[in-house]
Amino acid sequence: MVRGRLYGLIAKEFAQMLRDPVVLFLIFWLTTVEVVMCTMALGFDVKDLKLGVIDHDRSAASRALVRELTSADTFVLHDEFTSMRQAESQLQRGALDAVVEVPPNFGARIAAGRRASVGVVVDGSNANVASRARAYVVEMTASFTREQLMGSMAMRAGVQPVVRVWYNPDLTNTRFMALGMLAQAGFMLAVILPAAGMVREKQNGTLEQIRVTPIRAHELFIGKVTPPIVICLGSLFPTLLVLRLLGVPMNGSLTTLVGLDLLFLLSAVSIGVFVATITTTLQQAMLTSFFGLFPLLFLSGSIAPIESMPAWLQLGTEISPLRHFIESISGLFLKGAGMGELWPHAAALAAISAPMFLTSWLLFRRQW
Amino acid sequence: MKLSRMLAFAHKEVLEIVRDPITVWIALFMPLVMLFLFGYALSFDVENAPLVIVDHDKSAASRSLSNQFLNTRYFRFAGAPEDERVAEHALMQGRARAVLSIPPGFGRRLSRGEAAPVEFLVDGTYASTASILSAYGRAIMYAFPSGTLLTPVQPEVRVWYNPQLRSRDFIVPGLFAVILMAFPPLLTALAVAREKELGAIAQIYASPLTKFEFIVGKLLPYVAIAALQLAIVLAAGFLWFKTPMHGSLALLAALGLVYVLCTVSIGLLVSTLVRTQVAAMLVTLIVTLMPSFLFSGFVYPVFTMPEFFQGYSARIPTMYFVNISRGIVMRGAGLAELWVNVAVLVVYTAVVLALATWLFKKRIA
Repeated sequence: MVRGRLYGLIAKEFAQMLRDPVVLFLIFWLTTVEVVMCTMALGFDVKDLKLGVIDHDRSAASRALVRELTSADTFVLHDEFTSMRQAESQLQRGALDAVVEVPPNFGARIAAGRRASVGVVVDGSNANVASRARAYVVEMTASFTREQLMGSMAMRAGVQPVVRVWYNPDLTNTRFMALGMLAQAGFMLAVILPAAGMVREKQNGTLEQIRVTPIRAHELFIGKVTPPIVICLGSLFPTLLVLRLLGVPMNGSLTTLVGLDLLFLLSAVSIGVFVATITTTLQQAMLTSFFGLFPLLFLSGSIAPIESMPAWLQLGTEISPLRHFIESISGLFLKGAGMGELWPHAAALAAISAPMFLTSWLLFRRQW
Repeated sequence: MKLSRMLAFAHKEVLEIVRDPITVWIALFMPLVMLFLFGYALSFDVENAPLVIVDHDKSAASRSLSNQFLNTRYFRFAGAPEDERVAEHALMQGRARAVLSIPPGFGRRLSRGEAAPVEFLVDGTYASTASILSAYGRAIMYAFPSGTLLTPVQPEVRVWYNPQLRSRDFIVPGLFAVILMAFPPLLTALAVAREKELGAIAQIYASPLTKFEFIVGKLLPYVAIAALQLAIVLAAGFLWFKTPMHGSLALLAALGLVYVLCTVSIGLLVSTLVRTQVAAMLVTLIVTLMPSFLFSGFVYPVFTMPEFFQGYSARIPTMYFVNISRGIVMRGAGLAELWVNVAVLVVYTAVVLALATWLFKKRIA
């Protein structure tokens, strides 16, 4: 009998949640199209930056330097100028991304073993691009120095950097982006859906009707949180399928993923329940969940690296379930890690989710 | 169209907003919270990446190389295990972003003038950080004194418009555009969807209120709130974050007003298409917030996207206001440089408003 009641409740919640075809469509959109769009568009390869050259020296050395800078596809030689003034106006109009100025006697100074400086101007309007461009210029001039000064014979001497990039050798953002979107879409839905489901009853006064039925608090609670969790867990699969079709392989244990996602969703629905207990209308609930979602979404490390945040915010990210979830699934899919490596994040996720879920239940019971 | 009727409707809308303290509170504080979080949190400068050093050599040279790494602001020390596997484990767990591994005999090889390979392992999960770290790692190793007399070519890199490459100076002006796209449309869309969901819209259908009066009456209070949000974010951006302003504040504020008119209209357009508030919220997330954050050039430069998605970006007004805001604030640009963006924004607003009015079907009950 009790089981029948619970089934009835859950079925009703599903029906109510999915009745609006727009909502159904949006859930689908968020977990497939949006993921694909972000995965395809936001690879964020900084390449073909337009480089302007002012060569006052016109020696073999200065030409070699320019060749070195344009050897990879980060910079392409766009134009040559005779004065900085000309180049500046191009930079200002955005027609150039960077300018290199080689001083007179550059080659002669190097040949004499003296210090030679090279002026480089980078357009900093986009700090993101500029920091990559700057790092690249520093690297290339260092490697140029090496080649010039040590001569071809000594090329083999000295420190030989062997740089390897693990987990993502071609340095694309694609797979990480996909994982970030997968987590974010699940998070948004798992907060918004239960919050809306609970507040709607309050706002429309149907909660009163439920109170006079034999339904008990815990039954209603389970009835309210189960459908969003099921929907969000289920939406993992279209996402994974689409990613596979796109040629973004996700190799890792599916069971571990589902387990971690379940832990993660518990914390998300707790936020949803919490929002529902402190608001009375749907409008308030939507705005409040937005208010909570936003900071968590963007403190998750999926947009900007956590290491670059100030220390107090880094501490703040430790309590974000989204951060631990993204770290664990990127470990799972990108690094091929198993529970042996992932347990600190899984434990943190559990340590965050369990008290949150408990609190949300207590709050819910009190209001009931 | 009667002015008094329209104003009465706008007045009703204002009352409804003011009587809901949670909504007012969120409308005014949320942009501020977002500005503060992002102003502090979003930094793309790579600093203090945890570096694990495995030094099998333990010579003066290997210690000196390790110090070269740790003396830059790009790396910080995160352990010196004896075993490569421990280091790789740290990389896998995310406790380290890079591993420097110096093989035995490194110092000896260097002093003999032989090639001394050193392995530098970078976690590629976050591509942008990884490429910067590997570039600096290589640069440090190339420049490492190798026994021969080495006089370096010194790159003197200057960064224009943002000399310290402070992400904040570039984030804050972009954030003006994102924040004003995130909140005003959401508020507006929820307001109309609420009337539909609660059935109050039927009363409006039954009233003599015309389509146009309804639209303008809805628009006015929300544009006012959005203008207030604009004032708040501008004040916080310039007074608190002390973002250097190279252009005209009046111009920025004026174009900001055009922009909020545009974003509120988008909210209105969304609300004509949906029936429930949950749908309104999800649609605004998808059509305003996510694209304005991801596709506007705010974080990911538009030119790095495939052409198809550059076209998608061009359909989002945020891109134009990001250009306008960054142009005015960072480069001191005026209308002469920005007129294309301004023109697109104005046309965009007009089209959205016309579409919203047209789609708002006034049924006669």
